[in-house]
Amino acid sequence: MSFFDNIAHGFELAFSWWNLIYCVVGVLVGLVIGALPGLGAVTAISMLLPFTFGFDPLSALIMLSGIFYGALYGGSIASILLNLPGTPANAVTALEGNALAKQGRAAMPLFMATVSSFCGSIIALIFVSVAAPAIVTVALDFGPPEYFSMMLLGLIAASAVAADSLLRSIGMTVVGLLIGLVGLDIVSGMMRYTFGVPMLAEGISFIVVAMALFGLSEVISNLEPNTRMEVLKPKTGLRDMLPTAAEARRSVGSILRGTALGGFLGALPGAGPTISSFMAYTVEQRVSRHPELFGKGAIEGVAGPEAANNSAAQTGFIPTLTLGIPGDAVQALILGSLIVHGIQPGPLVMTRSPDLFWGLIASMWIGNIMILFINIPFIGMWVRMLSVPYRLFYPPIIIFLCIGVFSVSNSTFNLYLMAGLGCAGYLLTKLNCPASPLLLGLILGPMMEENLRRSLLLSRGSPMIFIESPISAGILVCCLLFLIFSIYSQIRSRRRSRMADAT
Amino acid sequence: MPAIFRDKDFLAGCLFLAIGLFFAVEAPSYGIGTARRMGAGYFPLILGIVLALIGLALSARAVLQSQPDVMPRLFIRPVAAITASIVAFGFLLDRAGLVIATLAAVLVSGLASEETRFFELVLVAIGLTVVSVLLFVQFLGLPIPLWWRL
Repeated sequence: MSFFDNIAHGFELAFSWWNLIYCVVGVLVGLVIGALPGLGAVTAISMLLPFTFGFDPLSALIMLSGIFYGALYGGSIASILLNLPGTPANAVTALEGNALAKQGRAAMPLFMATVSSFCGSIIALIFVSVAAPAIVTVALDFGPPEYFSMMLLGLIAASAVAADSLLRSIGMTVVGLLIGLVGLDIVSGMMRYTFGVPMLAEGISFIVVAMALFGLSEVISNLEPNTRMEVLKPKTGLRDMLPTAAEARRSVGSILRGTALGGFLGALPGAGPTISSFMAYTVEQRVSRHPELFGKGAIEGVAGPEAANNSAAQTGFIPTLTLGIPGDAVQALILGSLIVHGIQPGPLVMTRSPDLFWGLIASMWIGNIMILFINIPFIGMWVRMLSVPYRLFYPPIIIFLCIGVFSVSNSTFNLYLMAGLGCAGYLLTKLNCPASPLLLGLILGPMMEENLRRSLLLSRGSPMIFIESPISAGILVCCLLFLIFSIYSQIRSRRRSRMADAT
Repeated sequence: MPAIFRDKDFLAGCLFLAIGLFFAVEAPSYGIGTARRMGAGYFPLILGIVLALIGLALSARAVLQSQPDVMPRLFIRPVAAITASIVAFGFLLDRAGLVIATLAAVLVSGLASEETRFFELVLVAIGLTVVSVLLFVQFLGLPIPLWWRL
C-alpha cells in the first residue's frame, strides 16, 4: 500500500465514533491533569491505563496518547499562571510565560503556547509517518544481540541524560530491572523472589509501580505543608490573547527551531520532551537578537520550548512503535499497554498490525486539531479550574488510583503493594533518586533477559557476539559515548560549582 | 547523629547496596547455570552485584566528600494518612463493598492535609462515591462488589 493509502486508511479508523470519543476523553483528561501542577502525563496515563484493558488495542492507544499530548498542552497553563510546572516538560515555559503573566498579559503566552505546541506536533507527525516505516525496514534485520544492545542503549541514554547524578539513575534502572524479574521465569519454570506469595507469581505489574511512584508519591509530596500557590487571574478576551506583530514575527522562527530540535531529540532514546524544551530555551536565548529581554517576558522563550516538547512527544513514538524501545517513562507505559494487549513490540508491529500505527497517527492529527479548538476558547475556564484548592483535588486522585490498581487483577493485594511502593517512592524522591529510569528498567527487564539468553545461546556462551555483529557493535559504541559524555559533563559541572564555592 | 547518616548520596548508596545484596544472595538458589545455558539466577546475580557496586561507589563518594548533602525533611503526616487511606480502602473493599470503602478512604485521606474542612470533606466523600459507583461499576462495568456479600 502506498503512503497515502495508509494515511487514508488510518483516518478511516480514527474517525470511527468510538475512537473519536476515546480521543476526546483522552485529550480532555490530559489537559485537566496536565494543568494541575505536580501531576504529569505519567500519572494521568498510569491512572487510566487499567480502564483501557477492555478496549481494543487501537482505542486504548488512541486514548493513552491523547492523554500524553493533552497533558503537554495543559502543562503550559500551570507554568504560565502559577509559575509551577504543570508537567516537567513545561517547567521552562514558566520562565518567560510567568514573567508575561505578571505584566498582566497571561492570555498571550497561553495562546502562543497552544499555537506553538500545535505547530510542533503537526510538523513532527509528518516526520513520524515518513520516518517510522523507513526505520522498520532496517530493524527487521535485528536479531537478539542487536535487541539487547539497543535496549541497553535505551536504558543508558535515559539514565545519562535525564538526571544530574549518573550513578543514582543507573542504580534506579537496575532496581527496575531487578523488580521486573520477580515472578515466574518462563524458561526454567522457576518462581523468583516470590517468597511463597502466590500473588507475586505473575510478577509486579508495571502499572502498580507507575501509580505508586508517579501518582501516590506525587500526591504525598504535594501535600507537604507550605506548598501554597498563587493564581494570577488574567483577562482572557480575544484581544488579550493576540501577540503584537513584532512578537508574532519573532515567534515563527522560534517555533520552527523548536520543532526541529524537539523532533530530533525526541526520536533518540532517553531525550524526551523535558530535555527538548530546556535545550530549545537555551537555543532561543543564544540566537535571539534581544537576549536582554529573556527573563522579562520574551515570547520566544515560550514558543520555542512549547513547540519542542510537543514535537519530541510525537517523534518519541518512533522508537517505541518501530523498535519496541521506549525513550522515556510515558513511552514505557505505552509499550507496556501494547504488551498487555498481547502485541509483541518490535518492528513487526507495523507489518502485522498496520491499523494500529496508521490509526494512531491519524488520531493524533485529529486530537491536536481538537485541542486547538478546545483550548483557546476555554482559556478562561482553565484559569478558574486552577483556583480550586488542592484539598479538593487529592481525594478523587486517591480513589481513582485505588480503583485502578484494584482492577489490574481484581485483587486488594496490589492496593497494599501500591501503598508500600508509594511510601518508598516518597523516600526516593527525598534522596533525589529519579523514578523514570526505574520504570523503564522494569518494563524492559524481562525482554532484556530473554534477548541476553538467546544471544548467548546462539554464540555458545561467548559474549563476543555483541561485538561481532556490526549493528550491535555500533550501538554499544553509542552506549560508551553516552557514558563518557555524561561522566565528563558531570565532572565539569562539579568543578564549576567548586570554583563558584571558592570565590 | 553524624551528618553523614543524613547525607542523600550516602543513604541512596546504602539503599542500593542493600537491595543489590538481597537479590544477589538469593540468586544462586534459583540455579546460575552457565553463560550458554543460563539458569534463572544468572541475570539477577549479575544485576544484584552491579547494583551493590553502584551503591558502594555512591556511599564511598559521600564519605569522601567534605560537605554532606543533607536529606530534606520527611513529612510523616501525609505519608501516614494516605497510606492508611489506601489500606482502609483495600481492607473494606473485600468486606464491605465499594460504597463504604470509598467513603472511608476519602474521610481518612482528609487527615493528610491541615487545610481539610470536615463538612467539605463529607460532601467530597459522598460525591465521589456516587461518581465511582456510576462511572466504574455502572458505566464501565468493572467487577467490583458494591456492598458486602452475605
